[in-house]
Order: sequence, then C-alpha cells, then structure tokens
Amino acid sequence: MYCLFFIILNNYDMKKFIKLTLIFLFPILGWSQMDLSKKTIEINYVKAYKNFKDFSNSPPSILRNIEYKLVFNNNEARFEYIPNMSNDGDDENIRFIGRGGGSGINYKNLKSKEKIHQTEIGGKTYIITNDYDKYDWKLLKDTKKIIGYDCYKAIGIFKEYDEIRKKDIIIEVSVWYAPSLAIPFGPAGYDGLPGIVLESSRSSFYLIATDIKFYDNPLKIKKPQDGIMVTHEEFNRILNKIFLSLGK
Amino acid sequence: MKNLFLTFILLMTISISFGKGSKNLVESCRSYAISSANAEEGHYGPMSDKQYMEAVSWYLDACNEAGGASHMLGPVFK
Repeated sequence: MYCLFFIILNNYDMKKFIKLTLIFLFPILGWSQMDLSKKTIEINYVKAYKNFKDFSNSPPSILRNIEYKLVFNNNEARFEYIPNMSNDGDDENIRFIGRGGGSGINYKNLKSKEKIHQTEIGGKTYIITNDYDKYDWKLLKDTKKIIGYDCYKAIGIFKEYDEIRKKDIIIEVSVWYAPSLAIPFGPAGYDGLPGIVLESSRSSFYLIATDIKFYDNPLKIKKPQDGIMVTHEEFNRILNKIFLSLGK
Repeated sequence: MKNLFLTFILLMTISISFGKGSKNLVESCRSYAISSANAEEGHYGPMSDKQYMEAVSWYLDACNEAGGASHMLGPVFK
C-alpha cells in the first residue's frame, strides 16, 4: 500500500494525489452512512427507572418484563408495548408501562403528516390526533454511544392544560438521537429529530434501545384504525369526566 | 302494630347508617386515592393527566378492596 502511495507521489503532483485520495475515500464514507430508504428497521426498547431527583452518575435500573418495539421504514413508524406472558400476574411493574411514555400505540406518517396515539380508557378505545411537531427540541452537544451508535442529546418541552388538576403542566423530555440513522422517528411520540431516538427519559422513567434489526424486505406497518377519533383537548375533557365519576 | 312500627324504624335507621357508612367509605377512599396520586407525582415526577387519573383509579380500587382508607398504610414507593 505504501509503495503504491510512493509511486503515485513520485509520478503525480500534490493536486492529483488529493484528487485520487478523495476518489478512494468517497465510497468508504458513503458505505458508513447506510441507505435506509429501502429498509424496514425494528428497534427494541426496555423501560428503566432512576428517580428524577437523583443526579448521580448511576445508570437507571431496568424494570423487568416491560419491553416495547419501534418498527419503521422511510415513511411510517409504529411504537407499542410488547405484551409479556409473565406480566399476567400481580407484577407491580405493569403500572409503569405508560409512565414516561409507552401506553397504547403511537403511529407517525411523514408523507401525510399524521401523528396519532391509540389508547384505552374507561373501557373505550380512542385515537388521539397529536400535533405533528409536538416538541420544541433544543439540540445539545452532549454525546454518548447507545447500542454502538453515536448519539446526541436533545431536550423537548411540551406544555398542556390539565383538565383534572385545572392547571398548566410542563412536560420535559430528554432524548438521545443517532444522526447516522437519519430518520425522524422515536419511541412514544418522541420524534422529529435529525436521527432515530435511541433513549428517552421523562420524569423518572426511561426508554432505552437494546437492539436494532434491519430488514431488506419491507415489513407492513399497520396504522391503528379502531377507536373514537378525538383531539388532544377533547381527550383531556373525556379524562376529566371519567375522573369526576371515579368512585361514584 | 307497635312492634311492627318499631321494627320498621329500626330497619330504616340501620339502612340509613349503612348508606352513610358506604358514602363515607367512598369519600374517604376518593380523598385517599387523590392524596396518594399526588404523593406519587411528588416522588416520581410530573405525570400527564391520563397517568394521574390512572394512578388515582389504581389507589381507589386498592382502597375499596381493603375496605376503606383506614385500612391503607399509604402509598409505598421503591
């Protein structure tokens, strides 16, 4: 290899050498950024817990038997909880399936600019239409590796009026996204970033990617169809009605 | 006739007191559930309204199953 370079240097001037180097490097750089446009990707996530008042460097503890999957192609994404047979008993972790995000099914379509959340409450199924760009993301320079991918941190803030407690609540979400997987999807509706979200944390609960699979054959991504279509505000009013009737 | 009337009054008193008792149980469980959900939010961090309602509902069910708020020790956090 060195001999080849010496021959090149001896026979060509510096400009030609740089040109040749770029020609050799271009395909290598191109391969490192995988073409995701014709693939279906599946990412599995686990739920973890670390108290939001704990500012130590200790990692969050994984809550057993709570797993989710995000399946997406270059246009659609669907995120949902994977039902676990061992959760049929009195496992108290069941209560935390929806904490920090993860209840029901989240679906997003880039072409039709749809972002919906199918969820159940009071024995009925609802499809809540969400703002397409729900979070106002602030991109930070912090980095870390998650399942082998270099990730960057971002913080999103979302404010909404809580009908039950009659006050505004501010929801802050921290995420880590991978720019090398440049598709704007993520778990539990935490999306719209310049890369797939591989970790999120909201309050004391985390969604952490554990593995990623690439399929050359396109998998069908099913949009949730069943349920009463409501806006986020209408759903909050329904929640309030149910809350007022609780225990009566 | 007098005995029948007294029995009727006695039965009415018992039924009213049971009714009041069950209403008190519902009210005590409801306030227990709300304060427990508030304590849980203080411990785990802010909840969405759906999560808050589900937490209240969970504590309410636990309280009713236990037979009232006086039988509950309070929310247990890890």
